[in-house]
Amino acid sequence: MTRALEVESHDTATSSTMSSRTDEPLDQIFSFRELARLDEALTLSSRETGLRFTLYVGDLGTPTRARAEEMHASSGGATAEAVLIAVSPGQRVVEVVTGSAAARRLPDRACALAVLSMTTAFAGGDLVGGIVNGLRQLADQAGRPTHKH
Amino acid sequence: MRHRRPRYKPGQAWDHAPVWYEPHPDGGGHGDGHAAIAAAPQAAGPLGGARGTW
Repeated sequence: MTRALEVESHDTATSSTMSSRTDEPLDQIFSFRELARLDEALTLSSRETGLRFTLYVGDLGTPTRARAEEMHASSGGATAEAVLIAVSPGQRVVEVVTGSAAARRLPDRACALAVLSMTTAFAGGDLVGGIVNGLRQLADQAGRPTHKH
Repeated sequence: MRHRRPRYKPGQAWDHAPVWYEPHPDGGGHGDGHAAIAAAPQAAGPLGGARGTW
């Protein structure tokens, strides 16, 4: 099962949201079924491409891009091959950040197309569907890894 | 009676705690998983990507 990480979550907490965070289970925003869909999408995308897809859902502060890039750098492992999808529903912003190796397989134009697909779904209230479809598009674009021998 | 989770509606405040999901450790991809997350930030070279709003 995909693990929901509390990493740096509380660093971004504001005084107005801190109390509610401590009272809520982490996954309350999504049902178990939705979590299963996210888990499958993240895992399959990563497995098929050899890239490491991670997903953040929460406030990004401002500027959103700088925060998303900081998070990408902290996402662990080989960040050059990491792809972060950061969704801030409250700000109605989604940021996709690709490391240098990932960017060679996922050009900005391909990311923009996936983002467009995601924002269309988000605007209709479908967060999970948008994320899952966006992940699928990104994985399809990246293709399978080429192994060097 | 079936419990219905409030559906996300664009424009509403988002009061949920931030969450960060990673792929299943056996699912492939690179990285060391949870333990590595707390490590110091690593330079990933020139970053790419895209941004969107709705």
